[in-house]
Amino acid sequence: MSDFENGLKEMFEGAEFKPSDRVWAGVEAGIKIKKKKGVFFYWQTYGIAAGIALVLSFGFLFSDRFNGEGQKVTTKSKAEVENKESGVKNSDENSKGTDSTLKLEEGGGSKLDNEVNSKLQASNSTQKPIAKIYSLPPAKLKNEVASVGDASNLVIRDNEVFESPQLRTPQRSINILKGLWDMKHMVASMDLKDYKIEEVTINESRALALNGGLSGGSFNPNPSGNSHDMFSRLDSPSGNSGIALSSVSNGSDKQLGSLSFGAGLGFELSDRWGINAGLRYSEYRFANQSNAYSVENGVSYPIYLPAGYSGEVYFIPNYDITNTIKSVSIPVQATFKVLDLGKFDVQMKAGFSADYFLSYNIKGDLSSLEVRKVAFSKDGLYDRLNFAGLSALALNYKLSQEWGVSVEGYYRKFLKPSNQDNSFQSSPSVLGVGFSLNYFINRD
Amino acid sequence: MNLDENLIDQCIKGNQKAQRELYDRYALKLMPMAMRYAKSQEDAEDILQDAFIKIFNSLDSFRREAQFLTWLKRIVINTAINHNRKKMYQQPMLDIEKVALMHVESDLTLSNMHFTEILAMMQKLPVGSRTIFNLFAIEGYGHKEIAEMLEISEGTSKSQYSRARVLLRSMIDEANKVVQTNYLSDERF
Repeated sequence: MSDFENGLKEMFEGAEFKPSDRVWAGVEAGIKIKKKKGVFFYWQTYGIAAGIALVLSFGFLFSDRFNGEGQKVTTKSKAEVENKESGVKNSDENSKGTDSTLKLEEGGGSKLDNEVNSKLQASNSTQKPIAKIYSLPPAKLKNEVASVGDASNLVIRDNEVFESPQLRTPQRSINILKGLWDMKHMVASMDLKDYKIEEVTINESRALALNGGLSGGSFNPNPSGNSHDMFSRLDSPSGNSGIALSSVSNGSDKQLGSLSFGAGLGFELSDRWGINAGLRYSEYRFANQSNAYSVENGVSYPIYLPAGYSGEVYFIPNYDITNTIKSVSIPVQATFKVLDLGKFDVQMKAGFSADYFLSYNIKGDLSSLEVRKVAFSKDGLYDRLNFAGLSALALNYKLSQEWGVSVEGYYRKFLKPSNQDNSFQSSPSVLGVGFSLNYFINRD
Repeated sequence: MNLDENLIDQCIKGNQKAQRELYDRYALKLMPMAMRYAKSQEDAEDILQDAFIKIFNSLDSFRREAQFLTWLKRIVINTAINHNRKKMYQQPMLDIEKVALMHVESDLTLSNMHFTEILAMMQKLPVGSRTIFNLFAIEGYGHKEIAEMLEISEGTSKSQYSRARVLLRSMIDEANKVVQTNYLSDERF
């Protein structure tokens, strides 16, 4: 190195020069942007909080096409079991009626008819007395003959009526409306140990097919399946066919959608990876129809079969019912930024949520019916605590250094509990759209 | 723990006062360095600003056994190189080794010059030559290292350095002549 280079080197060695104030201003701003990326509030799909921001999400629940036989609950009749085991034959009685269509004619003339009709009128003055031909589903009793889960509760008030061979007369048929039973949740297999045979008319059986339901982590109002609870007379001891006497049925569930709002908190772990958690409140609604209501302790309730019912049952023309489920949930998701275009970025999210159901109400559109409040139970169809997997694709837009907005499409899949019977459980899924307002917090 | 280490720790924790203190302490020393690579003061301030943002964002990766000022200088140099890289591609550097070698050096004196005068001259150099001259003559990198850093050939580095040297010397020479002429003029009257 020559003197020239050495001279220059020495000249600059202790040199100092004050930059203008704009340099520090730029440095300060640059550091702040970085810090703001570190921690921020994330008002996302699940979010409203403290009245600062309202975020809505809309979702629809889809069947996962689990609707085959596996989702139907059928339990074998104790009566049938008894019949088969004892070899009792009642062919004389049952051979007289094989038609699965049951006619309920107005003014049947019986004492019981009048009683039913007067009750119906009393409960809903707008409803006419029963005067409709009920076509029941084809009797499938050959393979699905069943009785209630707790057979000891299947008590027919007037056994003599059912022992009559004249099943096809309206009078006899209408008497079935006087049947009393208690149908509880029917997931567990029957326990026949405590069966009280003297309380059951052995010639009667009952086939229950439940489509849809919510249980122990699985919630699936099934859009395509029909639930019915069919009461039949056994055809013969061999159980080849049966006579349907009457059937409580619901139509197909129709999704009305869900609405949720809540708040979330997100952390950026790196430029691309992050994690967020939140708390949301949501209401999910679906509609159906019913052809019967029950009177329990003097109060009339709509019947939606998967929710269960008890007491006296009255058949009326179809009416609409609305199911509303309110819940809170805690979603936790990992996020990954797949695309960063400055003010815009695209994030993929995946995680899970724990959903705690606050209430499940069933409302019939008849003014005389009270709202049925479904009880939750770990062992029943409806458990309070449910789990779901979550995934989403979000498009974020930064309005300023503090504020941003997001829109995301999300997918939720409810998880099956490991301890539940696979023959009934299903894993419904939800597709939806969420809007969120994000506020970025400066750590300084 | 010396003062710098404590200051560094505070900066890593996000203490704004500490960050300002560190900036005030080193910006004065680093600004002339940025100016050597820039074509103007404004350009130099942009380089310095970017360098300090990098410094604060990567302070936690500073290894304490190294000299802090050396680490800071290295960041400024890298920032300046990145800053100039685009311009260097826009003005391709030619191999002018032969021209440089033919130049006959005359005696030069730097003692009566202020570094800001030299800076002003350096800023007039083409961006590629200026960068290479700084890296070789002031920072002490070899042509092989410079060639790797700038992704050019070693020959280009050498020739561009020679070009910068000739140009700078001629500018200094010119400035000295003006000074000398003024001096003689003053003596005459």
